[in-house]
Amino acid sequence: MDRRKTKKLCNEVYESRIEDFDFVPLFAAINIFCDKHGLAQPTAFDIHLVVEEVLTNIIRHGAGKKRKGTVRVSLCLQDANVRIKISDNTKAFDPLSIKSPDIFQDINKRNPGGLGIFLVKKKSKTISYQRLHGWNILEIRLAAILQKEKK
Amino acid sequence: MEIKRNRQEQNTFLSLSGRLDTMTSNELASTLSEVFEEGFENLVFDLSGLDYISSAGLRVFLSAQKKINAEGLQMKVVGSNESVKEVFEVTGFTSIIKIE
Repeated sequence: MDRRKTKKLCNEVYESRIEDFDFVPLFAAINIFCDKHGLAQPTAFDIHLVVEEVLTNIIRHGAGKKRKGTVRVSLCLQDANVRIKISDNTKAFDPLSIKSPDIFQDINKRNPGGLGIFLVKKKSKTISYQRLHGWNILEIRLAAILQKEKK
Repeated sequence: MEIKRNRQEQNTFLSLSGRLDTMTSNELASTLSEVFEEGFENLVFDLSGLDYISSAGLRVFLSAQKKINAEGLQMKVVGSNESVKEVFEVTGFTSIIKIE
């Protein structure tokens, strides 16, 4: 097996070397998870958003120019929550330490920095970061709406 | 993402469909650069076909609104679905961009 290829471990777990990382198969894996568990469209939207923003941040700021490292994404449906766990072994960095933008600022003073992680925080019921054995581990809990519950 | 563009009087209409994310936001930025190169006009974004937006898309809207303001023109966003509208709301974009 070519180890350079992105590896899909199951519907709920995704792993890739950063140099090979591609959002397309990751989003496809998320869609399979959402279909399998009957998650409503707004929940699927939120999962995509959280995963995209966190991964963009890891690749832009954590991996460096050589794009060294590995990222892992796992999704679990538990009670009425989706638990998203995103791990990477790039340099230690707590994304929760990124300063939130001032959303009331005048447009001329606004810059787009920090918007992604701000959105992740806004969407999350709970969010936690830890650095463990060389891995950054971000765990996010989102409210899960099932298709049959949707009004 | 698909971008349809048409002009009517002093307005340029851009209808977006699909996903506006980190993979596609450059397409919109490029289209806007072309629109601005041809001369500034009022801009209307129709997002009724847009399923998804992330901060990468917000950046493009913020940049466009700043350019439109500098020219003294108008810009508005119409037709967003609930999830897309929520992204505009929680980030405070509803106070800097006209979103109907």
